[in-house]
Amino acid sequence: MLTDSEKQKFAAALEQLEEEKRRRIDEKIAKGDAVRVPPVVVGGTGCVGAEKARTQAELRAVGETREVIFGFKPDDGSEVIDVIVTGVPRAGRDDL
Amino acid sequence: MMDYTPTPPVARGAAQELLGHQGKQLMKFEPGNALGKGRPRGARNKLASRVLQDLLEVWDEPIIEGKTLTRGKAALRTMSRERPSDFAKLYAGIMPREFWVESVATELADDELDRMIEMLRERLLTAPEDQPLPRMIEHAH
Repeated sequence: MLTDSEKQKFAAALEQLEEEKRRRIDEKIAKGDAVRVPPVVVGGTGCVGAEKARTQAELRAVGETREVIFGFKPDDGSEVIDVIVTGVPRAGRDDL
Repeated sequence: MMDYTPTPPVARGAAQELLGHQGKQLMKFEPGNALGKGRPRGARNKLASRVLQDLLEVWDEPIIEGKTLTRGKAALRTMSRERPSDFAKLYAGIMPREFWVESVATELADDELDRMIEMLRERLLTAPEDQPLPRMIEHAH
C-alpha cells in the first residue's frame, strides 16, 4: 500500500514523464519525423492496441513512413485524447 | 495495565544525597555540570558510517570473481526486471522530487519513457483510492 507521500511522489513523477513525452512528440512533429492522426475509436478498452496497430498498418500500406501519433491536441490546452471508447462493440472493428 | 509503584521518599532522598543535589530539581542540569555530557561527539555517526562502509563493501564486490559487474548493480538489475514497481518505489523513495524534473525524464529512451509511464500509472491506479484512467473518454449507453 502506498503512503500519501509516496503517492504524491509517484503522481509528480508521472506528471514529469508525461510532460517529457508530450515535449518529445511536439518536437518530432515539428521536425516532420511524426504525424498526428485522429484518435482510435473502439467499443471496449480491450481492443485499443489492436485497433491502433490496424490503423498504423493501413497508413504504412499507403506509404506513411513517419511515426504515427494518435489523437489531436485540444485548443484549450487539455490532455490529448488518443482513444475514444464508445462502449458499443462492433463486429469487425472490436473483434479480439 | 502496568503496576506503578512510586519511589519511596526515603529512596528519593538517598539518591539526591548521593548525587549532591539535595533540595534541587534532579532533572535539570546546571551550567558547567560534569554529569550529563551526553554521547561523545560523532558516536552515532561513527556507527552509521561503519554500516554504510560495510554495505558499500558488499555492494562493490564483483558478482563473479574477475567480473566487473558488482553485487549491488546486479541486485538492482534483477529488481528492475522482476519487480519493476518495487524498483520504481525504491527510486522514488531515494530521489528528491526535483531530481525527476532535472534528469530522469530527459535521459530515458522513448520506449523506456513509455514503460515508466505505464508502470507509474498502474501503480497509482492500483493504489486504494482508484483514479480514473487518464486520456480516455468513456461513453455509457
